[in-house]
Amino acid sequence: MTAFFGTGASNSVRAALDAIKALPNSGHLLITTTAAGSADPDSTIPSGAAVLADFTFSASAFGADSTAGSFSTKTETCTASFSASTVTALQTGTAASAYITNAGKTVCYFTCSVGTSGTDIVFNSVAFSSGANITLSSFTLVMPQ
Amino acid sequence: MPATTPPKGKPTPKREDQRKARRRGLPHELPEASVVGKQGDSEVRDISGSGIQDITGYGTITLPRLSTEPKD
Repeated sequence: MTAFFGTGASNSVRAALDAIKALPNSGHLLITTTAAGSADPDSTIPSGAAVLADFTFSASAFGADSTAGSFSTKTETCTASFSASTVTALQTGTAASAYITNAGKTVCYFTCSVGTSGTDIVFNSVAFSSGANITLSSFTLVMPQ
Repeated sequence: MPATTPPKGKPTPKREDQRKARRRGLPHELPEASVVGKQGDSEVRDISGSGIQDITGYGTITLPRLSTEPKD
């Protein structure tokens, strides 16, 4: 049995999305070499994982919610804002997952997979070279109705 | 209006730069940015001309639906 939740202002889907999207305010999106699928957000970044790129979220990490679609596939979506959408690769390695953390990088709120297709974050190459420009053109959160 | 030519014996600023670069063992001019690969809608560009690939991407996280169903 499927339950559906309201997406309007002050309704449950938007309230849940608003609570989650505020977590990484001024935080970081760290692209790491940790194997996709093994990035547990309830643990710290493994010592063996190299941070290849570090994007800093704006004070308001995500923008306003927008509703798309119609019942029963309606969604609420918001798009991330970074202090810079292009950063310099910190070291050479193969990108595999991302950690979304607080400002001090001490708390991880969620992790996601990184690859060249079929992953949460898609790059045209995961072979990061130290000093390369790494651009994240958009990063969105989607919550279904 | 006739084109201005530098006085004989006086190198243009560009030639002077090239001469200085040769003396330092540097190439005459910095290389132009070149496309080193293409995938999907985005090009892999080598802006610096150093052989380092610049990388572009995007991300979408779809959160799980809210549910009234109890978890196991």
